[in-house]
Amino acid sequence: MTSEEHELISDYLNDRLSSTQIVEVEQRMRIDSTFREQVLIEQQLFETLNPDEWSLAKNISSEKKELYQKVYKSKATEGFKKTLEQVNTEYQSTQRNSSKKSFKKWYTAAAAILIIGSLVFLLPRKSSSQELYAESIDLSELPSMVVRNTNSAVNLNLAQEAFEAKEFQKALELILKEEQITQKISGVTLLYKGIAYLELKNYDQALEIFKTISSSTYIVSQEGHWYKALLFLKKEDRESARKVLNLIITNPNHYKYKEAKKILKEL
Amino acid sequence: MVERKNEVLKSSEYLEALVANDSIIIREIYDRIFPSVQSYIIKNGGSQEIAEDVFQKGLIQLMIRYRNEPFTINGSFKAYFFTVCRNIWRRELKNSKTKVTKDTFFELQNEEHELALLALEQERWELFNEKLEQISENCRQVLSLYFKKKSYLEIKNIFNYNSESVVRQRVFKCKNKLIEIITKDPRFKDLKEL
Repeated sequence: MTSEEHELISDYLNDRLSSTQIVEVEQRMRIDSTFREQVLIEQQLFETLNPDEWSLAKNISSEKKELYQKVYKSKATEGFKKTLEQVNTEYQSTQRNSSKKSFKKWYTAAAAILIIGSLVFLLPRKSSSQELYAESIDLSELPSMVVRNTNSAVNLNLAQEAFEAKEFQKALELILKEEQITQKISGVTLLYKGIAYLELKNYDQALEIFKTISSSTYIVSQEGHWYKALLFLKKEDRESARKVLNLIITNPNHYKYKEAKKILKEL
Repeated sequence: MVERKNEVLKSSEYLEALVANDSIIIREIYDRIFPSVQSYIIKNGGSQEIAEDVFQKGLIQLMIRYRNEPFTINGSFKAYFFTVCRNIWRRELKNSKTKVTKDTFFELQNEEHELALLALEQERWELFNEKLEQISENCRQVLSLYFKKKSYLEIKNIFNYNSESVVRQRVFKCKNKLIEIITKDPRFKDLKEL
């Protein structure tokens, strides 16, 4: 390429040509493939190496593009996208809860001072197992069952609403219905199912589910241990509760480590 | 799972985990990288929802590319993946400026076509930047200003060149060198515009 051509291309890409000159450049691009290639690569350089720009692929016709499209359409990618939706929902839900928690800290501290102030004259006593259960279960911190960007899970939407309204029987029925239709269940939905059984005092079914969760690779696998401990508290089975809680406190990174320590002191 | 929390995996291990659809490692990627991407996108005019979409598109892109042909990452996975997400956001902005509105971008009619183009654009960006690193320091600095559309006069003043004509010659020579090494690379064949 000559330096004159370089100047011409540079002026063309920087909008410094008259309309007649633009027509001439574009006409030349149609008939001179070498010149066209030069203009296109210079345009890509301008767009790629300028942080305020981006070089869009307008007319790439390579084998690689076909291969990528094929991989995208594969079953493996479908499965991957589902996992991403689930992990994203769980992650965002955890984030929302942790920000809610930090907001609640002052409120909780103030409430705690009031309670301590009014109860200070009472003799310390061990809490009942049922009381500990009621104090410890916090359904508002559960990640949502409903995965964004899917419109198929109507039953799960309704189940989520029923669960939040503490209509556990209704929530359970909807989850079972969804499970029957799709023949699968996510870790989070399984957790809801277990808690619904727990609240309905169907301890055997609930325990079975929490055991499955805690021994699985689900994102919520650690929650399985915590809800198992809560189940034993609700059942007044202190010994079993203690065993599970002792397992939780073996590692400070475990889910509900602090809460488990606190309950153990009370038991 | 918990024990791995404090340990940073190798880049190839993250990429392999994506291909293996490993939800535990994917969650780790969220824990480690999503806050930076979210903060960048929100600071640059995006929303929480867009940040989530960009992050997912970034992961899908890496998974597709690595599944098609394993590649290596120089440097940390976190830095690399952040750049991938930043580039997706640059693309969104470019698209919103040209033909598509922000609202419709995320409801693409032909998603596999768009994702394939996105992957190729990212690869082209990587190839161009890699080649820019291979030319002389002076050429790199001159071209960086030139591609940011600085005038010859501005470049002359920054480098204390004698005249604008010297700058023109320098740009011409450096640009030709850069184009030569880009087009000689076998990867360019799959990335060039027709």
